Amino acid sequence: MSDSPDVAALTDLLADDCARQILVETKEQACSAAVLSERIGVSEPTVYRRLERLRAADLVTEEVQVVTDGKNFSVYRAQLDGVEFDLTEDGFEVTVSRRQRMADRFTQLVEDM
Amino acid sequence: MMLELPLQSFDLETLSLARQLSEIVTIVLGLAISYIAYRGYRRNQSRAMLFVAAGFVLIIGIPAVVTVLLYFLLDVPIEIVNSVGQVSELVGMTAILYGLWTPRSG
Repeated sequence: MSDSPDVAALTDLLADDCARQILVETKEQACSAAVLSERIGVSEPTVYRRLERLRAADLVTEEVQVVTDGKNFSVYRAQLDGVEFDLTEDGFEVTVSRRQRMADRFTQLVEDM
Repeated sequence: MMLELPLQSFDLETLSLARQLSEIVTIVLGLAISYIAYRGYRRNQSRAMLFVAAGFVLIIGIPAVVTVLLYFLLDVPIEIVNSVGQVSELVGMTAILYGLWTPRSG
């Protein structure tokens, strides 16, 4: 899965320390916003703002954790695998590769039928 | 017949055991697929995947549980047990078909 999103928007997002840290922290294991806020040392609203941007760019996935006695909460996981910039005559071409889990591929298969 | 020779040399008890084992493997695989579908539903809020997950449970999981429970534990006649399993399979197939047919979640 790869596409060429807006170069400026993507580089702008990745230029942000907090956004990059979120991606690093959530690469191997899903984290809640509260955990991210604690690990990165920024306020939760800031984390949520970054998560929203990352989600809009499809770089993280959100998963709702159902809690039997209490409020459900979301955990986030990096979907980004790598970014490749190519300089062409027409400008930069960006290729974003994303990790797709079996469950996601299966979902796509079913939904595309 | 060509087939009779290997069949005669086959121990029927071994065959029956192998069949039971393969039955268990099939059930495990079916439930694994169901779990992946359920994860797909949770990760993508996809209603279609919920029906696919439920479908696999109904086709493979429920008939197995029903067989063990009714036939082996409660001595219910095998015809009835099979009928219950068959209904479950039918509902499961319908669920998967509905899941494939249902409009996209978004």
